[in-house]
Amino acid sequence: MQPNTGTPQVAQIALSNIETIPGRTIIQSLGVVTGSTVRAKHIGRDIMAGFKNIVGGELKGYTELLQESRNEALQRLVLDAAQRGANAVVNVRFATSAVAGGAAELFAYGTAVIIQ
Amino acid sequence: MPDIEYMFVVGIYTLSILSPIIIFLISWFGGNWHQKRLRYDLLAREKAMPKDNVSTLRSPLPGRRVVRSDLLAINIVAAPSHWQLFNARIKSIFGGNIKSLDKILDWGRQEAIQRLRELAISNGFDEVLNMRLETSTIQADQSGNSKNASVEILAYGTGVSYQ
Repeated sequence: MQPNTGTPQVAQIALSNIETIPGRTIIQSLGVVTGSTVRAKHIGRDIMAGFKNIVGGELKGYTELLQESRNEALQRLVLDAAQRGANAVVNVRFATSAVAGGAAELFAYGTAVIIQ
Repeated sequence: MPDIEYMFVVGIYTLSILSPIIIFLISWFGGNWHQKRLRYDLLAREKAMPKDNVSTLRSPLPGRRVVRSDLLAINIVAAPSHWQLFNARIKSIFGGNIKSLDKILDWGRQEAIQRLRELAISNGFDEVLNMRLETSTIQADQSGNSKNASVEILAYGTGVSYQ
């Protein structure tokens, strides 16, 4: 059992952001898989962040919010990969974009592969 | 002798004028103190590391066998203080290097990388390969102006443990 790495461990799918899973051989590529989520901050956190902004530094509320959202995006990516019958996703990349005011889209994409 | 109602009105009036100044002063001194403490804390944690286990190499060094790997990601939302933002707005009239924003962004990046190092150690990985940094602006309103500017810094990489 692996300790919590901050990334979701669904269906034993190996993730990496390099071209291979180190130490394993890729047999087949199954195309691009994506996962995205749009999250808005809630007003309580917004107000607290406003106070914290006076002195600057880290805004912990937003850090947690974005961490949760990114985990959700990754989870969707992993589910997409599992549906295609892959057992690994390589070259995972993250992207963030601000859509309508106060909401952020978190996006993860990668290539689903079957490894030995 | 001034009556109580008059004193109340005068009190509210002075407070409404003084409160931005008070917040500004808190932001100036409190912010500088807080951020200095954050920087010293980060330096101490960086010095406590035996060696840097994060690299931007895309594959492990030759001759090493990897037994386990996983994706590691960590983020941080860093924000400048009101004082630093004010400073930046004044500076941006004349252009040039804006030191006050340099400081907080530099801190945010180093902190994100340091957290990735600590995450790798706490999960038992020997090294992090292909570390990437992503920065994105959050907290902007519809017109793109941001009153409370802040940036999200995301550091991610592949943790590997060697045989």
